[in-house]
Amino acid sequence: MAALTINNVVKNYGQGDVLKGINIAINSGEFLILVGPSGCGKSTLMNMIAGLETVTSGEILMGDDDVTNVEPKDRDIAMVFQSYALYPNMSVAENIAFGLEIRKVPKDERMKEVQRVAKLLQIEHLLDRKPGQLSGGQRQRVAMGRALARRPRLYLFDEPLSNLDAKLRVEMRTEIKKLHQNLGTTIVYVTHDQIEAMTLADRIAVMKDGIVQQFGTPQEIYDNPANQFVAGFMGSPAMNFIPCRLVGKGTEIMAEVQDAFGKVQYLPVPNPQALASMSGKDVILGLRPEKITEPLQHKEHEPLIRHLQLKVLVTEPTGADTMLVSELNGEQVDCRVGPRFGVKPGEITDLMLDMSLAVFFDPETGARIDQ
Amino acid sequence: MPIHESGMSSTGSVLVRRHSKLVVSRIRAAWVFLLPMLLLLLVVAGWPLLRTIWFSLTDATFSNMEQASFIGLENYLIYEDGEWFGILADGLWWRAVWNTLTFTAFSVSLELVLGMIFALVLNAEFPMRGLVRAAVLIPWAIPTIVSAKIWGWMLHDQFGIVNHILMSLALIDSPLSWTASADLSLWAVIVVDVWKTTPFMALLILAALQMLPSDCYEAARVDGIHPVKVFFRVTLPLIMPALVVAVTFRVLDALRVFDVIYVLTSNSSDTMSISVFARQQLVEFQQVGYGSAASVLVFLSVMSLTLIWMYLSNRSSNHGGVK
Repeated sequence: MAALTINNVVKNYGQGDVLKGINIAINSGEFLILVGPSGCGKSTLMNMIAGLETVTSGEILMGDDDVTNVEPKDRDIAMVFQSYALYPNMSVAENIAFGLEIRKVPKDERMKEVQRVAKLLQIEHLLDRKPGQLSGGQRQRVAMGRALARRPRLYLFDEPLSNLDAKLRVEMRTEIKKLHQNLGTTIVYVTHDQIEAMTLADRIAVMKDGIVQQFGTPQEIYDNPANQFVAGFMGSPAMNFIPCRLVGKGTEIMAEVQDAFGKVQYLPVPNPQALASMSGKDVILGLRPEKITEPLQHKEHEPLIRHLQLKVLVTEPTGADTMLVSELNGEQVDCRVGPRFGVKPGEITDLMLDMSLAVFFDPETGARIDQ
Repeated sequence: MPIHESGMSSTGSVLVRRHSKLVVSRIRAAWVFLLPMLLLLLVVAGWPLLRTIWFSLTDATFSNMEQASFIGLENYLIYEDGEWFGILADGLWWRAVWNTLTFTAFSVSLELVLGMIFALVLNAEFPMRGLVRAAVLIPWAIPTIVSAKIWGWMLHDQFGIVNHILMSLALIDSPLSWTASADLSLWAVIVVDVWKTTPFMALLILAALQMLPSDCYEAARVDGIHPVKVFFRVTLPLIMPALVVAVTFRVLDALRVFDVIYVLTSNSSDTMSISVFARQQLVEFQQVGYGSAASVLVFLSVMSLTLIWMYLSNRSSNHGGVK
């Protein structure tokens, strides 16, 4: 059953549309992430789901109920705010119980619920403290506790981790994922962090300029981006974009590149049928950094493997692996090699390109052309 | 190694001396900054205060200020020929104390409630808010003498606009003498003070309201908490420290009230505050000793209230933890 359906929703503040017809539907128990750069409209959309902002046109359904014009309090939602929004004058326990108190839940039941949530989030020892006496991570837990105590049909998380330091952010990310797995709740989660989006989501809506650029599972979006923006936004380091020309070689169509010696080389494409009519055209080849590696023996026999002699410009060891910055067709390209692959800047080395997940874009529009 | 050791100790002592020199120069700088203000306070506050206390212990009058003789606490209280004399046995003094307390209690609580309402309205978003905010401040910006004179004319029993309006609305049959009647005059004074000082209260509360985090109000909206409940459970506790300060300021101010009462009702015993009482004794009856004793009593009561308040607020901030 669809837990949340957003039908052609438009938002206009008076100077053009901020949201230009959003369509998203998720099932009960799904974890939806709205991701995009700042100003893409993701927070506006979240506030409209919460009912904090009005909908200019279109409709929002929760289950089978049209909630487009329903007050926030009657939508049966709970929200975790970026700034936590705890009541500074109330203790942690009071903060968690306040929403229940308003709903006239009897006192002993409230206490039980506070205990359950506190145990779930491991904040039992903090119940008597005021928010001012808590660290950022603890406040974050309390804010989540307040949402969890309500057991609504939909949880909204508005950039909940963006105020935490890097280490704590990773920890809380895992906690949230665990919570979702254990409780099976339906969550809508806004973030600008593509790693959060990839790790947490069942489904991601990548947004830009008030438009959903792509809506799909994390792997779909990673492997099969709908356009150059999505391809560049999701994944870190970002996908390499190499300008090149498509040429017909006999019955096949191939991408033409130049290696470090200026010698022309031809790279195979994974979906030649779609590109068959584009011989002679300039396109953008998208190839993720982990698809350009040192020669790997076990992959040699795969069909779309090619080798190129490329010049190493910079090496950036991260410990687990090393990022090589190289150059291909005048564009810098990132390559991910093993930590023991001993090359120095300035050297020309043999790198292996796996073209099986290569994608192609129109250089003008950024649209995918190989599907 | 003796040479090396002496070298060590000499650099050590140089370090110590430099350090103490720095401290000395800092202390000196602090005194240089403090001294002008301390001198000023001594001249304009300390000296008059000490002289007033001294006069209150003498039989000084305007004509014999120099030959005044020490009479101990006789100005305050003395038992003579089977009767009590002195300020503390003076019916008019106690009347003034009662008037002052009534005035303080009613004016400050009315100002608090109205100021809160004003502040909440001014804190909401509406068109021309800046203009309204400025307009609300006008009564407070007018000097008290001027506004009290304006109100004096408005409340005039024969020519006043207040009586005129009430009569034409048929709310009263005959003109009321607002500032002269024993039943009405204290209330008239309170109303004028409330009119004048509510903006000050509103300003202090508005400042506190603007410091509040906006996010928990959004959270309250999502949680479906009624705005009235949010006010009493969230807003009020959060602005309580500011309210306490505002009320303390106003109480201390109201206990010393003089101008609005003196201009509206001059020396009427129905509205006489303790400051008016002290002025009457000092200036009109020329009883410098007696009047000074009254002033000292005003000073002592305001000071002890301040000390109590400072003690209580210190204790709550030390033991209450984060509010």
